[in-house]
Amino acid sequence: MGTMVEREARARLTNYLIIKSVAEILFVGALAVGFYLTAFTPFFRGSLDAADARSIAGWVVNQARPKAPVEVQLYIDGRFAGNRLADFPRPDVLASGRAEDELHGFVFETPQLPAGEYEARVYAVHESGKEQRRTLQLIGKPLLFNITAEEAKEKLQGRAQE
Amino acid sequence: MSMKDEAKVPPFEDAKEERQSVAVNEKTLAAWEIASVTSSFLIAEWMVLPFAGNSRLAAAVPLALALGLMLLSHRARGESARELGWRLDNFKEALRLLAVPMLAAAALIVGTGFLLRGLHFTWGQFGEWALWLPLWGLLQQYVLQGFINRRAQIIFGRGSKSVLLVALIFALLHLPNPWLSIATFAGGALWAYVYQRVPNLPALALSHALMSIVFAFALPPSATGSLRVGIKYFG
Repeated sequence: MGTMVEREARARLTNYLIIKSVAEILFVGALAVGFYLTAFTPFFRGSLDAADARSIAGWVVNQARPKAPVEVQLYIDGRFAGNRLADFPRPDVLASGRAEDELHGFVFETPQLPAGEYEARVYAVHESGKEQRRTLQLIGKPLLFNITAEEAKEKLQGRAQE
Repeated sequence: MSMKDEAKVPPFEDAKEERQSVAVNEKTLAAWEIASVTSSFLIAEWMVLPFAGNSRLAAAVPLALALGLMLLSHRARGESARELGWRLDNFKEALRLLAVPMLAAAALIVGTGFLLRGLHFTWGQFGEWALWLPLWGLLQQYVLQGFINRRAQIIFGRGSKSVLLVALIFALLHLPNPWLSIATFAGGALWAYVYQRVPNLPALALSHALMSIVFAFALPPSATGSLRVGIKYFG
């Protein structure tokens, strides 16, 4: 079973095996890089500028689609706290040449929280794979902020009045 | 060893050494061919779907590379289509060998399905499977027996070791579906055994299609994972 391979045919077969291995490595590499670029677009630019007891604000631009507003999600201490479109006017972002228009800011009202220290993270939402995937990418750096007992009480009273 | 000593080596020793070297290379080459074809199918099953979605073009790349290797290898080894099992003269003989184990396996599968309350049947699904399963089975049997089995025999010779290797590779290609992996291990062993005695691909394809239909209709879809393999098994 399985006749012996002549020297020349063996060389051809071996060459094909090597070429096939290299082609498959390149193919898998291309798939992985293509997937990464599609699922985790490298074109988001933005910053989380401020976080305190009242609001959490920043800006984000998708440089691949600079005029489209980006959806952002706020997480406080790792827990989802809200989402919205980053379409708040930010003339400073336009002036610095980071966007083609000024509608790329976001402002979240800080949710009611007891006194303490918290970490705010804002993520840009990116859809890919014909809406099969939604990935989150951190915008800027996480910010730590404090809520004093007084601020917590004020907010509670404000809510009660509303 | 000096020139003088080399000259003393009898010519038949040289020839023996060369034969051994060629034999080792033959086995290495066959093992490399098996690994290469298997890896192509694993790439198609495990890498293409998560990275490229349902792109048939992307899935076709590793499969086309594997097909190219198989065709080149047949040519390099001077294997004819008839030798590979593309023939009908021994069709009945192969079916005769397959009949009893197939009936026993079908009874076992149906019995298991009865116990699991999984027996079900729809003409629509049957019609769909009856159309493409024989062709799909033929393709799988060609790769598994016409290529992998023949290369396994170069490494281990005809017998249990090469049959076991074929069955293991067939089961590996059906992971992580547990029931299907067990079934394909058993089926792979039977088909490899029969192929080594009576190489006939159409008979194996027919057996493959019939057993797949029995398997799919006898066991509940929750157990068979709707016959999904690779990354698709996870939904």
